[in-house]
Amino acid sequence: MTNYLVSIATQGVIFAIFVLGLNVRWGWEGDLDIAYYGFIAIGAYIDAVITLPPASQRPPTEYILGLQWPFVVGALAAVLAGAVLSLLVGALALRKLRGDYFAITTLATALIMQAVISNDARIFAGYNGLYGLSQPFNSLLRLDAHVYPVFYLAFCLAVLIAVYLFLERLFWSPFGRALRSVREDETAAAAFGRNVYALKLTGYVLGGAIAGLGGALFVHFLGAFNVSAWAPVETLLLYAAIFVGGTGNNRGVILGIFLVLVFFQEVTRFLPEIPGHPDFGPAAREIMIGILILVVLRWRPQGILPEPRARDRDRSLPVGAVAGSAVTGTGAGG
Amino acid sequence: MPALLEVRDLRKSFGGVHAVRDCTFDVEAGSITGLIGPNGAGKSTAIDLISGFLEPDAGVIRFAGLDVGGWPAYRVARQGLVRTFQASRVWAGLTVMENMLLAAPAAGRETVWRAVWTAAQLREAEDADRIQARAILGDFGLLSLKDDPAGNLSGGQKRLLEIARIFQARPRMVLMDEPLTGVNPVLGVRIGDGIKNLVSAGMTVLMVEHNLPFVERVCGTVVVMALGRPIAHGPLDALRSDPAVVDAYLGQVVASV
Amino acid sequence: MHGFFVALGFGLVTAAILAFSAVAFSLQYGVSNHPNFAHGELLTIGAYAAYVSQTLTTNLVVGGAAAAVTGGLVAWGMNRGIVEPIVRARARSLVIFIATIGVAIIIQNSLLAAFTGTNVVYVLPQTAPHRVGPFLWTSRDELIMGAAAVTMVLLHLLLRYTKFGKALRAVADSRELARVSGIDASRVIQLTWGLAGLVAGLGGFVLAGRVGSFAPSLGFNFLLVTFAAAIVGGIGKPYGAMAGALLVGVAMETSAFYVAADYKLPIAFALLIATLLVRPEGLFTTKPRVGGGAA
Repeated sequence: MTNYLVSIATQGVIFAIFVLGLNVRWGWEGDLDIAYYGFIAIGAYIDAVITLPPASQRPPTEYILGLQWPFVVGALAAVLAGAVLSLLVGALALRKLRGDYFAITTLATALIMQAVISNDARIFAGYNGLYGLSQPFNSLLRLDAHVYPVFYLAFCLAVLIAVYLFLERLFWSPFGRALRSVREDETAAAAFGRNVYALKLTGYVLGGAIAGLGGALFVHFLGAFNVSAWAPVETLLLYAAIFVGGTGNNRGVILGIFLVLVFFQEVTRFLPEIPGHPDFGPAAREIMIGILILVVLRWRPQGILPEPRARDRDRSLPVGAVAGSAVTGTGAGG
Repeated sequence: MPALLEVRDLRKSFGGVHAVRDCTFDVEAGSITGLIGPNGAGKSTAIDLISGFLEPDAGVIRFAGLDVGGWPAYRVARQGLVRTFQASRVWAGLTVMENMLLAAPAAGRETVWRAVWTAAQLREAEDADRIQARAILGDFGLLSLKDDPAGNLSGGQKRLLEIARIFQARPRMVLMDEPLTGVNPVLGVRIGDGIKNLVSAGMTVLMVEHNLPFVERVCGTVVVMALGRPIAHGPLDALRSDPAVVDAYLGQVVASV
Repeated sequence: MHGFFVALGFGLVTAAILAFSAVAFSLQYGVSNHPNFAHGELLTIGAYAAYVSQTLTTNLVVGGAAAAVTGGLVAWGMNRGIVEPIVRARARSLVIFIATIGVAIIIQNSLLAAFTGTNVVYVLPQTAPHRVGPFLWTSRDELIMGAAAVTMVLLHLLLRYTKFGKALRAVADSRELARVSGIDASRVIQLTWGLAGLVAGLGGFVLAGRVGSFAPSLGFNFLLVTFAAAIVGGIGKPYGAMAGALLVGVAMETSAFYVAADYKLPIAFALLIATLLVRPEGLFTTKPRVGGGAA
């Protein structure tokens, strides 16, 4: 029983990391990115090919690198991969596209990525997948099969907390505020000196880096990497979590992902098996995600926890001299 | 001494229609200049061109001696040339105080790097901004609303916030596109005073406006545009009898003032 | 050169099928101002409706009618039941887009649950390929192209000469202006969705006939290609969509002549992305580009 709980909790924690990254793109920037899962996948893949031993030792598959380096290197490389891919896609798409057209472009990009990956078996082991990934840190710790999952859960939780604190700090910083002003009104942001493109691109790369990190954690959790599992549709689950939990609110989206995951775990348990219709279970699950999204969007689009509102710091700051005559004001700058 | 804003032979067409052509005029530092003219005269287009929201087909735009023609809007703004829009554009989901803090593009501060490593320093630098913002908001009667989302403000309050924001930003020059749109006369007086205070505080104003009594009260000099080009320049008083101006307005100037 | 013309011939057939889908999509997007991600599902539903009707009667007209009517009803219902309420709640265009994604998931998976994921077979009788000029077509191909031509002509007549058609064009052009002229914009939008669903359902019918066997993902796989054709042609311009369908359909098939067939779809997507980046208003629009975001 505890193994089951540990497994669910670990998955939840890792998905929470995914969702925090997606929230940067949707909640902070206001862009609908359907290709998000692709960045998770690239992080997973790069981490896999760095931490796995060389391809020749595993007869049925072929892939690049195979350096058998430790997990930390793999994870860093995953972050880099997510960031670089985001930079490439974002540099093109964010220059001119907004709203619906941007979303459509990300969908096209995701499908192109999927087509390229599944067709080029040489590099990505096609539909065969990679397997046998190592357990991070276990060569040092040598924990047995019962204890290791708990350790990994704690490790992922630590990563989640670090990411969360990092993002919280960013959200309230001048950068976070500038990014949110771009989301609210791009034209006004430009009229007040904001380089909208640069800000959006930075946010986009940030989201991609976090996606990559999550991908690395996820692929070691699964122990294997299979291309067909990384479909654009999975991104919808993450969006559902954001809508349910609260757009723009870091705590909200974490709450959302746990609610959505638990909800689906429990509800799908009670679905009947219908003979002759083996797809019924997975189909029903997807239908419920769809219904959930519709219900939330119709009745509570802002989610359970609304976006936190900035509170002006009151700490004994004086009100200041009367501005009408204060010709010599410092003029906020630099 | 050259004028703060120099526009020379500015031209812009849309699909064969000349919106602006042979547009040449100056705006002197420290002045409040009105840009008036009948509908379709090209006034808003001129503002868009100067502020960088449209690219000119030809012509020169010099701001404080710098050639800014064709620059993107944010670069122009960073040089100290800020603008407002016909519809008030405040950042609705952010608080009034955040709107004020965002007034001046502190580009060096708004990076991920500084957010992570120098957070305490940033907070201190921002405190100076907050103090000033509070003072300005107080002047405009918006201080009690400083923590409310700007979207909750009434239309008139949003207009005042826009001007407060400009005070916070301290640009060298402000372009205003019909600042009285949707504003009742009482508020109009306050806005007029606010604009005059901007100039006393050292800024220059160029405004597009249809309300001629307002223009006469607030602006020292006007540029009259018709059919895409300036046709007269000077104090509104003197221009009232200028035949070209009267012609352009088809008697509207005389009738409404 | 001979092979090229054969590929071109295929391209025309693909273009014909694409025309149904792209024109329907363009009509709906033009009046609603937000894209319907579930558009592909309308084709799929049409296809399955035709399949079901085939189990009852082999009459093609009935099959086509079943497809069209089902598509129209589902589209109309989708708009009334889900999209309109969210629009009335003043949601952002992107949020409405996401809602249509939710609808797409529900429809596709409902079909999956009902019909399972295995391909169902839908065969239209056809003769062997024969030469028509430089092209190589079967009677089925000709039927498809003929149906497309007839539908396009009917649509043209509808848009040009009927009151509804003119109202549709007015609303697509400017909803505010249309309202001011006394047009009931929401009624026009509802009917347009129904019309779009009708045409899309027909598109599903011919698509099913073309591929011979299909699964619930049929329409979705066609979705991006539809976007490509509609966007290349200019959103809200049905004639542009027809031209876009021609361009994209021919490009896809003739490119398969030079590159591996696996890259047919990515080529369409690349065309889509290129259009969005370079000329988002479409290749066939004459509207001048007004830059900047100022009032």
